[in-house]
Amino acid sequence: MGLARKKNPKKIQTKAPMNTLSSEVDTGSFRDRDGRVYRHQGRVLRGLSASALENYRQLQSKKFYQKLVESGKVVATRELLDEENPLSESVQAQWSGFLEHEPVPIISYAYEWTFSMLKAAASLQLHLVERAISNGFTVKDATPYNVQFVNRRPVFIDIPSFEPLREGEPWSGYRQFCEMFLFPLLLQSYKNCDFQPFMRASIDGVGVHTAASLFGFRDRFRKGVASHVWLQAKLDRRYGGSSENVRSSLKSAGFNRELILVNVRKLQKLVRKLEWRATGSEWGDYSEFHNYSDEDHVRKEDFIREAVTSSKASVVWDIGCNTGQFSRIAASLCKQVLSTDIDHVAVERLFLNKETPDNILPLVQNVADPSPNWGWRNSERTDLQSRSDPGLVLCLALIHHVVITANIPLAEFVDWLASLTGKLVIEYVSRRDDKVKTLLRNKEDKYQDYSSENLEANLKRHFEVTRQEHLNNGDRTLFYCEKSQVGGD
Amino acid sequence: MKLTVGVLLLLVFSNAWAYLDPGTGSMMLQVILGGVAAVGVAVKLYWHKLRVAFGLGKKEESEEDSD
Repeated sequence: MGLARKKNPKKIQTKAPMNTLSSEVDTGSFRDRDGRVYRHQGRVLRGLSASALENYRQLQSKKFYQKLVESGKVVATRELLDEENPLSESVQAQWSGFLEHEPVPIISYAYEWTFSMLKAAASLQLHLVERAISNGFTVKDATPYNVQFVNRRPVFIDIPSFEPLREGEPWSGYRQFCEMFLFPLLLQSYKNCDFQPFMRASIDGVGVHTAASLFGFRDRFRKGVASHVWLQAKLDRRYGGSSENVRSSLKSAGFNRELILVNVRKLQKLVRKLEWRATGSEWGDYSEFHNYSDEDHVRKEDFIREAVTSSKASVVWDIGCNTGQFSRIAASLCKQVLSTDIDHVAVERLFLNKETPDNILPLVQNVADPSPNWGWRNSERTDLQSRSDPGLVLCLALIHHVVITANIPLAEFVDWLASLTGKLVIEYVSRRDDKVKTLLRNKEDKYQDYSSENLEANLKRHFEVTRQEHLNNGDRTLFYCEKSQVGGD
Repeated sequence: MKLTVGVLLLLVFSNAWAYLDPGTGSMMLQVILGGVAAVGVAVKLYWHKLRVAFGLGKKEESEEDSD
């Protein structure tokens, strides 16, 4: 076992007060007092308390854990020796030991995921509980913030969630699993109600009583609703306020791990069968093919290909990615692509499509209402710019939606793009285009700022336009822009 | 039947599991959802409570193993 030699084995655990927190601390990692995550020059380190360290050492000696790491279901982790630890003395003094984790390329959150992404994360969570409990351990919590996507597969990242199982105790993470995974999935599957706004507005997910009020009388006989929603809400009302200690009663009555496993397996079956038949997406079936001649389409692809190559970007954002056809081109020429779209259906299809390259991370995101900085001190969960630094942004067939539909002034939109990156491909869609005519059909045309001249003028405030290409007889124009000072990647 | 079992289980839990409150009702629900396997557990729990109520059993934590 690679043991970290403790400098002072008998030291007393003291924690620095909040206002002297290391600037490297991960502001989303604080709820569990037994550990804390730090980021240092792209590395991910985790300080552990004495008991958490002991748990880890036990855990990593177990075959079931090693298999999970090998198969990529749990993040690769190792214990860090004192002499290798790059963090400051004062930070190191707060913990008994440190772990290092393999970094995740782009951190994402449940309210940015599609239905199938949340479902995959839920299945992973249950699988880990089943494996742990069958081997004398448990997973003490169940939150999608402990799961990340790497190469479009869910990976569990919160190692200290694994703890030795104390015989006679039920699964402590069951309720949280319901509120953070199951209820959002049921909302989407049974009611076709997008779960993302719920997860974004409530840091603890969909509460048991909220779920009970959303699933009415007619839903009570749908799989999973009677037990996990209705019955749980009733029992919570009746017994939520008491304070009696009955751990001993449970244990002496013979509560055992088998009961947990029975429930976990039922939950696995329930989750596995949940489906979301995505209906009526305005853009889900939309493909750019409709608007281009074959020749123009090839020219657009070539333009993108050249832009990605000459930008030398290792991370590319494709905002308004729709079917992901241009994300695919970028993915073959760079390390990581972040593909976002406001349309849940489109992103879901991109995620599920087996031909989508693994280095594309598809997320649901509204450019005009993006993921915020929120939670504790408004920094527990962060915006996308804090989590990813694109060397190139593709903004294709999007500007008309942002300016006309979302009513964002064109100049401000360009300012925002300039704040993201040093290199940009942006496509202007003229008023002669069918799509723009559709967007304007029921509105008074107040969009004087929406013009090709105005776009160019605003681009020039931040960038140099080094390449241009007209498509569709001038109905669409592609601009490749680079900042005069070197920026981005 | 499930609700009856739930009502019989006059159990409340303290926050003894790390930082997360597992929820009293939720823990009870796990016994109920345990199905047939849990009936034995439920009966034993109820039996213990009943004995305490009639002064036939000890109120505090019992050291004996379940049979």
